[in-house]
Amino acid sequence: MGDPTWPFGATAQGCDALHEAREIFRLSFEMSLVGMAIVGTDGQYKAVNQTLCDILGRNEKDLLALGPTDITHPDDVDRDRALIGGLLRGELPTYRIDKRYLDRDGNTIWVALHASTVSDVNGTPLYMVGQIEDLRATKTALNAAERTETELKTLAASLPIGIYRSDPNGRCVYANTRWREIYGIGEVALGGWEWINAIHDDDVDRVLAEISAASKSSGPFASSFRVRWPNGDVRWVQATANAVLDDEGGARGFVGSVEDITDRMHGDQLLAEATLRFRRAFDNAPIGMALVAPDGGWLTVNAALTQLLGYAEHDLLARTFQDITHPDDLDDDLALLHQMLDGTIETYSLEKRYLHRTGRTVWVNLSVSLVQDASGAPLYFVSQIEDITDRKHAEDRLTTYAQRLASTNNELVEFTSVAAHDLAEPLRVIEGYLHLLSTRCSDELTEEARTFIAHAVGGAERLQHLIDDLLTYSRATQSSGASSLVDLNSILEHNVAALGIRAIETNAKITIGDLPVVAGNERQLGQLFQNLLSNALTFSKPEEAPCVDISAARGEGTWVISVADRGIGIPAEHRDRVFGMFKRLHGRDDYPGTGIGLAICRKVVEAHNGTIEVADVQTGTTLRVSLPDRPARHTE
Amino acid sequence: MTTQPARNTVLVVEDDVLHADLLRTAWNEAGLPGSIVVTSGADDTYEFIDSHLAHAATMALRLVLLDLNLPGRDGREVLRDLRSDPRLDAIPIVIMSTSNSPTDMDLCANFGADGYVVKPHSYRALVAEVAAIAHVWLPDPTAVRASR
Repeated sequence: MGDPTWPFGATAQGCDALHEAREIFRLSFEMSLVGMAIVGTDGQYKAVNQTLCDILGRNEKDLLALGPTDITHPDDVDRDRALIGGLLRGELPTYRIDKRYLDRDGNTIWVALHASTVSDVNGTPLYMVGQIEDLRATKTALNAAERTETELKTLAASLPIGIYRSDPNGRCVYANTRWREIYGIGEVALGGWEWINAIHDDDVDRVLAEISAASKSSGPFASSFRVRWPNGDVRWVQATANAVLDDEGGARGFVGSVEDITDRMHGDQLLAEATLRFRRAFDNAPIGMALVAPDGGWLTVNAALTQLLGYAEHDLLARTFQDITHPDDLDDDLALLHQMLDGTIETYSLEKRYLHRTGRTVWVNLSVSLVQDASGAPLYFVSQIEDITDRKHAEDRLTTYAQRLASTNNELVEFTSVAAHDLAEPLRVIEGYLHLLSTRCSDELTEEARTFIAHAVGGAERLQHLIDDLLTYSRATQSSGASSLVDLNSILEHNVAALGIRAIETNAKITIGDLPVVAGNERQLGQLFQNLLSNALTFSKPEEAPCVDISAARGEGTWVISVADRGIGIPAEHRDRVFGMFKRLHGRDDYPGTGIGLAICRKVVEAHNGTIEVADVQTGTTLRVSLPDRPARHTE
Repeated sequence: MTTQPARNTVLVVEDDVLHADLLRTAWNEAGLPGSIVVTSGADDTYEFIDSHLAHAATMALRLVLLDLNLPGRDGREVLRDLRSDPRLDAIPIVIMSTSNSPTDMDLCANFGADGYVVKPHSYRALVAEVAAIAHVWLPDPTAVRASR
């Protein structure tokens, strides 16, 4: 740097010491690694060193034509002027700021400026001296750090878990949004807020102990506990904390995370409750329950089962179900079990026998289902075992009774049949000889004797009808024999024709609707409708011509055939009784009959798996016969 | 007797003697030809047939009227036995029974009965019935008039 640029030469002339000092200053100025400038009180640069020129990206000549405010960033100019003013007025001895200059291309240059004044002996400021340090590298690093911090904060804010930092005393100095949400504190200021105070009363002692243990071992803290929100809500959280250590190994503070696990805890709780409930239901079930291994070994059995089978629990667990299954039932059980393992069936139920420890047979109703793992491999069977021994015994007794009853019934039917036949034989003889008596010996008989004979003949005739009906009844009770398709239209046609003279004499009006074809015994069904038709004619009102209407309607899986008359009707209280044997509602003189007709009808209908009833109608009598429908064959 | 033509004989198998008597009376009342022979069960029936066939010259068995309700071997068995006897192939066997059960009717038809008549309820009907039987099953109605 040459003299022409050095403005202070005149005052130094003629003095060696001064010269030396001046020379040292000049060298320091010129060689300094920080930028240096001397600025006049007029605000113009008086001298600049090379380092400053390098920092500001301008040459010395250009700079000396300017002042610092000319190249200062516009945002910093006002502050600059104020500070310079302070310096020049002596209010500030010195100042230090970070400020921005602009280079020739207008780029911002961050610098640290240290400014002071040089005054004369009177204290009047002569020059300002500035030392300027280039901050560009430092500033860039700081900016990067700021950016990183911003990014981290953004990241922290969007984390699904809460994170926080606290001072060594546990006072929270930073927390992300999620953390605030989890503790339910919203935008409440963190100052002085201690998370430890949010812990549920029932958990706080435990958590404090855990924290203490963690800090003693210098290990991390992790725990689950409940927190109580300021609004009173209780949430389950899982929290961690790690000490942040300084260079000496002391805690500068803590960082940690917190996660809301309320739903999971509730799920776990529900599962635990469900498991407990199942266990209770299993243990206390009134029927036997067991988990059984795929090989048949008992895995878990309840009290009811041990009681049912007479084994202590450990005895039973040492056995397989095959060991204690009645040999006659084992194959059936295993067959079903294999079908279930094959996937052919999902569950099965079976009535089977186990052998009680004492050897006696225990009848059970067994229901089995299979539990598989995720890959479908069988884990175990769930078996429900209900003791039905009593029911089985009752069933056996019922079967015995039913058999006895059936045989008694058969005997009765047989008896009726035989009795009727055996009664018929002597009756014919009685009738025959009464006839011969009245015809061949009539000359020898008095009028009174002839009357007596007529009464005897009348009695014999009634007995004959009774026997005929009994025979028909007993035959209806016996198996109906071959079943065929019977067209009821032709049956009724036949029946009406068979009424013959009776229908003409009584002037009966008989209408027959379209009737179905049903499966059954033609002869018996003929008998059925003959009886119903005959009844309808018999029980007409004395002064009216009988009127009978026969029609069919579809029921549920049945044909309902109605035989309706407008006769004297059946009082409601007698409607159930009319189907009994020998049930007559009227005097024989008024309405003839043996009282067996409707009993025969009921027998026939029952033999055809149907029903017969007296319908509840206002006028006359309607008998309703339901017979099973055979729709598939109806149109044949 | 040996010079006379063999008489029409009707065998009635009936254990009830009174009924058999009524049948005979009705037969006669109807003015039917031939004589009624009554047996009451299986044993005397077979005995009669054996002896009858031995005297075929004097007696001509034309018809068997068989009751089903017999003591011991019942009428169904007797029917089967008679039908399996080739000597009786030409003789009609008509069942007269109180039973109007179709089962019995079918059974008898299967065993080779030629007819089945339900015993009528009244004497008057019995007279008409035997007349009808004779008309259908006795081979020579003219003999009826001749014999009278």
